Amino acid sequence: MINTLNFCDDGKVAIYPTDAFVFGVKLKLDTSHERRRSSFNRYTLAQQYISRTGTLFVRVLLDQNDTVTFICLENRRLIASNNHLLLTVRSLIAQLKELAQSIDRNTNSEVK
Amino acid sequence: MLIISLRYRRISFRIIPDSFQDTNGENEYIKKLQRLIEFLEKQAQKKLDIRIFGSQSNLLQNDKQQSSWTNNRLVHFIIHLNKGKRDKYEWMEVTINSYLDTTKAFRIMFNWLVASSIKIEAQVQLLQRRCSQFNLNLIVAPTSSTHSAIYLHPVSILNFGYNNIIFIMNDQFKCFLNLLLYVAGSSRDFQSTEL
Repeated sequence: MINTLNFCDDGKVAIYPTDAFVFGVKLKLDTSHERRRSSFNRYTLAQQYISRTGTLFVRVLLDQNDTVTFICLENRRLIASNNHLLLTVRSLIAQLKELAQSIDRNTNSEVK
Repeated sequence: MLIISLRYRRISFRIIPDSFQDTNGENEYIKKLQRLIEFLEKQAQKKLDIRIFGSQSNLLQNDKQQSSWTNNRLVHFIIHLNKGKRDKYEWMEVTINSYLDTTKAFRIMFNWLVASSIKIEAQVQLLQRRCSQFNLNLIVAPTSSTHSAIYLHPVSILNFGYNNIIFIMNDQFKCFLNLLLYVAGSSRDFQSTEL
């Protein structure tokens, strides 16, 4: 993503298992980063990338079944009513899907 | 410092790094960032311990991985917004990354509870002007939080599991819980909770 789609690293973000479950993802909890205070506050850290245009955030979630889920978050604050930026986001999402499919062809995995 | 679970107003920014091809471009970007940090230190009126790391820095890759959790730590400082003695006291908190990597986006967050929007807007415009002056790519970004639900009441958040039952309890249970917390020496008050 960094090399081909001109994204950059945006650090880690906290993801709760209950929030990820909405997307059908059973999070793989990293024991080194897991918060052990209580079951309500247990979260794990997910890698986030940001497009250099600033219009799209992509979170990478790792499932317990070793599948990877990309969650694309449009930066609505920046896009607002700008149609040009909206088209940029849509093309970026399409390119990301193409990239995943190209990896899929090499590894025989499935892209949904 | 404003606790992450409070329902304070917040606005978040990112500085997206330039895509440089050689070390000269990277050094130029580091100089711009240093100017920005100087500006932030002037605002904070204290020295901010922010480390800058580029691809040529002495930090080893293993050290980088080991300290990946500490890299996510944030630096907080308060900006006092009242100018005269007769002005009412207003303040805002600025939160920034404690670590500045030339390959990563840099986070700047403005958090406030007691400040008018005009003064916050002035601060935002000041930051935007400085970034355009230093030729940095500043964008407004959605807020991220380590708390799962950030829209909670500002005074009644407890971090040991009461958050989920607070919405279903009745008045009698609320009084009992207040009494229990009073005995336990807690200063939190459940009467102010919005049900």
